[in-house]
Parts: sequence; structure tokens; C-alpha cells
Amino acid sequence: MTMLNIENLTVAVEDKTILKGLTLNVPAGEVHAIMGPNGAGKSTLGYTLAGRPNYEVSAGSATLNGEDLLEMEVHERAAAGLYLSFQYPLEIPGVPAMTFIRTALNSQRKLRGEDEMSAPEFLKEIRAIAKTLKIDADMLKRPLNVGFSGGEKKRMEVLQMALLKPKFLILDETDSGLDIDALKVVSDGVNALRAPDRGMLVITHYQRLLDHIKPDRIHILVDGKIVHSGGPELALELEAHGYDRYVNEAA
Amino acid sequence: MAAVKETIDTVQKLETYEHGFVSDIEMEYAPKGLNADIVRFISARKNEPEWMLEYRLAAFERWQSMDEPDWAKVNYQKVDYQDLYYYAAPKAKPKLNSLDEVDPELLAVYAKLGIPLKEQEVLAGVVGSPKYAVDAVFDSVSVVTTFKDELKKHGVIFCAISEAIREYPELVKQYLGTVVPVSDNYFAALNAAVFSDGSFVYVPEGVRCPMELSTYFRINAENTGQFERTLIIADKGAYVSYLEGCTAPMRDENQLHAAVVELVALEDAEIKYSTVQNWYPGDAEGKGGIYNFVTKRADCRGARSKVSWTQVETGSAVTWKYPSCILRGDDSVGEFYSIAVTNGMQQADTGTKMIHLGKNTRSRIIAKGISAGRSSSTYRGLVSAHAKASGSRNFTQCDSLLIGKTCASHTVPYVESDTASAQFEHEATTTRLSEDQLFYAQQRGLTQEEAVALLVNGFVRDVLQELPMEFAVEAQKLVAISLEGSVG
Amino acid sequence: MNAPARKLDIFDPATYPTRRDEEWKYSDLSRALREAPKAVGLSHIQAEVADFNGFYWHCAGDGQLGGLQEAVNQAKGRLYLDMGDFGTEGEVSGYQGEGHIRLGAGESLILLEDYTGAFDYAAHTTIHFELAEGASLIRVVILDEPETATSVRRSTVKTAPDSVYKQYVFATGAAFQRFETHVDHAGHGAVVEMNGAYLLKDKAHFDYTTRVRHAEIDGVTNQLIKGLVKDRATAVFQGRILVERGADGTDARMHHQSLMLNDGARVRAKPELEIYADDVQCAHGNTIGAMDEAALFFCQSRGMDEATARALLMQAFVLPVAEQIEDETVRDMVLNWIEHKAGGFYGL
Repeated sequence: MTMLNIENLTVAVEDKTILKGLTLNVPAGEVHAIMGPNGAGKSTLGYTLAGRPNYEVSAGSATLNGEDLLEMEVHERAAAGLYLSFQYPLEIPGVPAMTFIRTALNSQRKLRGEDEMSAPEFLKEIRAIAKTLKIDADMLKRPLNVGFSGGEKKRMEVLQMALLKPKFLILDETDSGLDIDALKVVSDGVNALRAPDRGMLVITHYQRLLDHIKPDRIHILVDGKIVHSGGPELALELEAHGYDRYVNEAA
Repeated sequence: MAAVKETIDTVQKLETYEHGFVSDIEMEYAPKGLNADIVRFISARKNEPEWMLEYRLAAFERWQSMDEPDWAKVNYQKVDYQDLYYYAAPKAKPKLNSLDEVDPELLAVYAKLGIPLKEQEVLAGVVGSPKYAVDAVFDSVSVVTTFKDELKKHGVIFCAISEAIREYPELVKQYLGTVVPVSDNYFAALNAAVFSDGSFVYVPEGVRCPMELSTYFRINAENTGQFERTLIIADKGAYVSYLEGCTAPMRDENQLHAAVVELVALEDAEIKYSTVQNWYPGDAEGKGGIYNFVTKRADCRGARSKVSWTQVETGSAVTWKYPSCILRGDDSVGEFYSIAVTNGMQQADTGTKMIHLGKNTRSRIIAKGISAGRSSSTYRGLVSAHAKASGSRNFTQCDSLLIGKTCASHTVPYVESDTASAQFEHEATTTRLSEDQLFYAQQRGLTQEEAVALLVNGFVRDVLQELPMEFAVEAQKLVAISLEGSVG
Repeated sequence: MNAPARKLDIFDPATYPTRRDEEWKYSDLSRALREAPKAVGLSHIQAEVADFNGFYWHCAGDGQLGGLQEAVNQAKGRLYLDMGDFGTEGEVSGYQGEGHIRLGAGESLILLEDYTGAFDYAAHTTIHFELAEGASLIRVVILDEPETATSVRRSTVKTAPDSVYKQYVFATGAAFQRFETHVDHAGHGAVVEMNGAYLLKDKAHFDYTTRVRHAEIDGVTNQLIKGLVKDRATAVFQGRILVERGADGTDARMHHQSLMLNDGARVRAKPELEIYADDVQCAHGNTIGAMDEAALFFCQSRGMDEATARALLMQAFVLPVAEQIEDETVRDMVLNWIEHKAGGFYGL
């Protein structure tokens, strides 16, 4: 069954049309990758689905498990199960990572009509996950992402997804700024979240990440549209020949 | 490294102040002192219409009721306003029709200064420089304006303001005093009463002025105040780049320069105004030099208009100057790029005001102050956002460099915001010339002077880049010359 | 000596500064207080000596600042100054007083000053501090005065080599509230910090003015002032760092950051550097703006509703100032206070 359903999505940012009628379906339990050259609209897709202000949808639809994402507020989309892992996670001075995550978790639960997670329960869980991600307990007390290295920020993103347990994950250039060891830790964290009832969309420019997070299907995004879709082998072809062929086709 | 070498050569070649000579030109003066009759005398000498005389007399009356400002961080012997000449003009034919009629002595002065007054000439020493139209102001009068006819073909008016008052009274009436009102401040009121000459520029709708315009101010006569008045109007969609240069002889007494510059930018217009101010700074003991008390302001009246001030201030004994932008039009842009160098006993209190009134207005301030010797340099600036200036932005970077133990550097920013969606950022640093960097450069073979020039050039680079290229080279030399002998 | 340039007598309107005084440009006392307040005697009896969270409790309200040094001597390093001013309804009561605190060589004091009050009053208090070599004064000031108050709180501070003076001011403003500190920095390893946070709403006016003068070598000054302004409130920050000739090795930094939560709020900042020595490292930064929309989006994308996200970011904005307080008891007290004030402030 299709989990994320995007039809003919057209999006403009500051009067410039970036996505031009994009259609994409990701079923539950599958991992799809979006690849494309710089400026194709990869990050715009993630931001639009998450509801970033000033991303104007002029046409098309996007639903998650049949719920209209575009009608929802940003936090409602999160509570509905959509998680965007940012390419550049923001630094939030003054807010300890732990406080940030607990506030987010309880806000989501409240909106879904669930009980708040108790402090001991939360602590137990976050510590366990932090351990698997090699995140120091001390780091959880520091303001979120402030002064963290690129790798630490990405691990913090994975920690949040593991705690918030979203239904659908969008990973925006999660491999950028990671060395090989950090990439392995992050990918293992993501792979651990693969489940029959969870979908994922991995946005990346390079094939490297897909060695670690193996996609079921790959879509090539050029100039705001999916121009080609195929199996995992497509990544290797792109690695060998680049995007030129698809860019020219689109032009 | 070639530029550095050239700078050093120039420094060595020169004494301290290159333009300090006096020219013996036969002059006509108004009687010393200031009263309503002197105002009438100036107005009569310029064959001004009655409305202009009334404007001056009203300003004079206003000035008498005002006090000289004392809030700036400058100390100076107050001017005796009754011991000055308010009008000094080279004796010549009343009206000049061509360059051929200009006193050859005067032409010689400008030749010596490297200012091209013949239209086939280019700026001294600058190979392949583009054409520059020049308005040459000598003490109280404009002696000649070049390229007037060529500019006229494009509809651009570039002439002495005294001529504009006679020839284009409607334009002058419409704009004069609308940016800097008579009552704005003490020196502006004084200027309005006794201004003698200056430049007038009007660029009509949609016209991109085909060449750089410039005015060259020269104070020559003794005990004479210079009160220039400049008015530049860029009509809708017009563009003009204007540059002024200033020099004066070395004299033991202080001389007053109290100018007013008004810029008006209408919808989509852009004005770029650059100054290379090199008035005589006085000697090393602080004797003599120009009092540079100047009011410069731009009104970005139309939507999307833009005004850029760039100044290289190396001269004058005392400088009191805040080129400002009133960002009235929505989406208008104001910029201020400044290098202020003080050495010897010089004092400079300079900066800008960016007044955000319209929506989404943007301003940018980059100010670099360098103090050496026993001098004092103050950055004073205001950034304000009116309640209606939603979405306005300012970025200010204000850096001071100290060379030596006896100089001073101050930073006095005022930041005022009345709107939540304005974003104002201000950063300032004060440091000394790094001994480590000096050592590093010297270890690699630069002399101390070369190393200083190199580091200082690096420090002011962001601002030099904003100057028209030909003048950036000159300004770079000027900065180095001004700092001669400051280390070691 | 670094001291207020202007003599102020709260009972003599002729001495009230106006906006024409550069030092009072953004806080015009003559407009806030149009006539002299009524001089009143002690409105309440000095409390019994008591203990407050491990602090020696001393009442010094209504301008009664005479016994400060004695209280310090009793306090064993932890002094709670109860600065309650109780005016009368419908009539402005006036309080004015000066006090002195001196710390001997190597002595240390944590001073908690709690300014509260009720009804209409106009207060002008001055505390003079003097620190001997190696002394340490941590001064935590809570200005929690009623919106009807007119309040001018001044202090002069004379430090000595290797002494530490740290000041943390937390304010909610008043009809007119000004906290002014003049520090003579002794250099030679002495450290000065003057930090602050403000939470201003309704028509509150808060003016934080700091003056520090470095006349000796190797002095360190750090300042971090952060605040939130909403409704029609006004925040004023005036900071001046003066480095005299010869005060080489001075390291001085001043940062002011203000978050404006709605149009109609006002912020005025004048962070000055006045430098007469060359071997120095001085910097100041000033930012005024709205909440960071990207951070807001980030919080929301993780599931927080807008109000929760805003409240979190607002608290986060000012908390770093309190978190610098090393003493755990005092820090927790301040954090609680901010959270408590925050409840009313963030509109949650």
C-alpha cells in the first residue's frame, strides 16, 4: 500500500518555480532514494513536505497514509508521523538537547491524544539510544547542536528519529559532512529503523550513502521533475556516467 | 607586491603633504566678517534671483539663533566667524565660455594637482582611465566644468550650482534644502546663508550617466571659509557615479570648510557618491589644517532606490561628517563604506545615519578607522527603524586599528528599533597592528614600512573595493602616505 | 573615580536628567517623574535577623542602606538584601539612600539583591562597593518591581588587582527603571563581568547602563546582556568600555542581544568603546531582531506547536545569562524566577 503519495506537486520559492509537477509514491516498508544534480529541487521537496514557510504550493497534492499533508501545520505533520532529517540541523542555543527532544516528543503525544512520557521512562530510552549511536550522555545536556561537529549533528538527528518513531522519514543529504566512520554509525542507526510499517525517502547527490542504506527504488530528479526511476542498480550507473544524460533529456 | 612598492616609492618621494603649495592668483574678496550685508553681497555677486537671497537671509537669521554643536569627540579652537572671508574668487572675466578663457595660472594649479581640466586629458598618471567630467571649484567659485555639452546630449545637467540657480531655477527650488533643511544643524544653516559654489547634477528619467562626474575642491586663499553646496538628483531609473576630491595649502591657521551635500534618488534610481578627502591636516604639532564640518545626506525617496556613500578621509585637522541615508522608499538601499585615517594631531568624528522608514529597506555599513600618532578617530553612527519599516535590515561592521601608544579610537553606535521584523546586526572590534603579522611579513623580506602598508591595505580592502578603480589606487597610496612615520 | 556624572536628588525635580543629557538620552526621568515624590519615614520595621535559603537576610528597603557593612560582616559570605519599597496608593512616596560595602583582601561575598515593592513610589538608591586585592563579589540582582514604580538603582565599584566582580541583573522593568553601574577596573588580573537579562512587557521601561574604566594593565571585562521585549515595552542598553592610555593588555568584550516579539516594542542600544591604548583586544556586538524563523520551523518540524516552540526559544534566549552563575543555589533561584516570570510573559 502506498504510504507517501505525491501527485503533480508544483512549488515556488520567492516567485521561482522549483518543483514542476512532481509525482512520486513510496509504499510502506520501502526505502526510496531521490538523486539529482545540484539545484534540481531535492531539498525543496523535503522542505515542502515538512511545511517550511514561504514554500508556496501552487498545484498538486501530497498525502501520508491518506492524510493531506499540505493542509496541516508544520507540527501537525510531525505528529502525523513525518520526520525530516535536515541537511544542516539548526543550532538551538540555550536549549539542552534533552529538553528539546522531550518537549517535541510530548507535544506530538499530546496532539495525538497520548499520555506524556514520564521523565524516568524518557531518560531510560534516550540513554539507551544514545549509547548505540555513540553519543555521550554529556552531549545530551549541552544546547542542541551548538558547537557540535557535522557528524555529531547528524547523529543527533538519528537519535531524534529513533525516539520520536515517525512513520515516514525523509533524509536530506544525511551523508554530507560525514567521514566514513560517522557515516557507518548514522547508516546503522537509520537501518535499524527500517520496518514493514515505515517508509523512507533518502535524498542524496552521491551514490556513497546508498552503499550503506540500500534503497528499493531510485528516482532521478532533474529540474523539478522525476525524469527516471529504476532499481538500486541505477545508482551505480549514475556513479559511472553522472547526471548529464538525464539533464540533457530534461532540457 | 607591485602596488606596495609603488606606495613606498610615493611615500619616500613626498614630504608629508603633497598638495600643500600656495598659488598666487589675483583674488577678489568680500569684506571680512559675517552679517546680512555679506549675504547680500554673495548673492549679488552670483546674480541670484530674489527667492535665493530670501532663502539665504532666512538661513542667516536662523543660524544666529543656533549654537555650535559640542557633542562630537573633537577639541578645537572655536572659529571666530567674524574673522573670516566668506567670499574669495579669482579675479577673472565675469563669465567664462570656454576653457581658453580660464586664467592660465589657475590651469597651472590644477595641472599641478593632476586634475584634468582639458577634455582630451585624463587623470594624471592613470593610463587608460575612462572619461571624467570635472567641475573645478577654487575657493568660492566654480572656475570651469568640463564635458558639459557631451553630457547635455544625454540630458544630464552638470554645472556649478550658481549656474543652476540661474538656469534651472525650478529644479533647484524643487529640491534645494529638502534633504538637509536650513535648520538641520549649525553648519548647515551657515552654509545655506553663505554658500558660494558647488556642483549641481540632474540625471533625467531612465538615463545612465555616460561618464563619472567629479568635483575638485581647492581652498587657496588665506582666512577664507569654503562653503560648498552640492545637489544631485537622480530621476526615476537613473544612475550616476560622482566623485569629489579636496586639497588645500599648508597654512598655520585653521581654515573652515562647511559643506552641504544633498542627494535625491527617485524610484529605481541609483547614486554612487565617492569622496577622497585630503584637505591639509595641519602639521605634526597640530598647527593649522582644515576644519571639515560637513553635512551630507541622501534621500532615497523612491521605491527601490539606492545610494552608496564611499569615503576615504585622510586629511583635515578636524572632521565632523556623517554621510547619511533616509531610506524612505520601500525596498530602498543605503550603503556607507568608510576609511578614516588620522595621524599627527588629527581628529575625526565620522560615521553615518541609516534611517529606515520604508518597508524592506536595507543598509550596510563598513567603517574602518586607523589611528596613529597622537590622533583621535571616532566612529559615530545611527541605525534606526521606524515602526512602519517592517522587514528592514542592517549590517554594520566597524573596525578600528591602532598604531602606536598615543592615539585614540572610539566607537559610538546608536541602534534604535521600533519594529519587531527589523533585523539589525552590529559588530565592532578594536585592535592594534599585529606585531606578529609585522614580524612575519618582515621575516619574508618586507621592510617595516612595506609591511605596515601591506597590513593596512589588507585592513581597508573591503572599502577600497567600493571605489571607482582609478581612485582606489590613489586612495591606497593616500592611506599609506598618511601613515608615514607612524611605526618605529 | 568612575562615578555618575550627574548628581540626582529624587526630592529635587531641578536635578532630574532629561533626554538632552546624553547619558539619559533614552530614559527621560523628568518626563517619568513630573514632580518630587513625598518624603516618608520608615514604612515597615526592620525584620528580625532571619535565614533565607542559607543566606543572611537583611532588610534594606525604603532607602535604608546605612547598615550594609554590618550585615556583610554578619553574613559569612552569603547575604540576601531585601530591597522592598512599599509606597502608598495614589500618592508617590520617595525613597533615597546610599550604602557602602567593602570586602577585605581575599574575602568573598555572594550578594543577592531582591528589589520588590508595591504601589506608587520613586526610589533612588546607590551602593558603593570597594574590593581589596583578591576579593570576590558575586552580585545577583533581581529587579521585580511593580509597574507603577520609578526606580533608579546606581552603584559604583572599585576593584583591586586579582579581584573578581561579577554582576548579574534580571529585570522586568517598571514605569521607569534604570540600573546603572560604574566600575573602576584595577586591572592586574582583576576580572569584571556585567551581565543581564530582561523580560519586558506591557509598558515597562528598563534601562541597563554600564560604565567600566580600565586605567591599569591586564584587565578583563566581559558583558552579555540578553532580553525579550513585547507589547509596548522599551529596553535600553547603554554600555561603555573606556580604556585609558597605558592600560595595555586590556581584554574587553560587550554583547547585547535583543529579541523583539511584536511591533510597538522598542529597543535602544548604545554600546560604546573609548580606547586610548593600543595593545588591547576590544569588541562589541549588538543584535536586535525577531525570532529566528528557521529555528522555529526546526522545532515545529519535530512536533512542537507554534506556542510551545516560541516559548522554548524565548526561554532559551535569556537562560544563558543565568546559567553563567556558578553558585548552584542562586542559579536555581534565578532559573525558577525566570520560569515563573516566563509563565506570565510568554502568554502560555
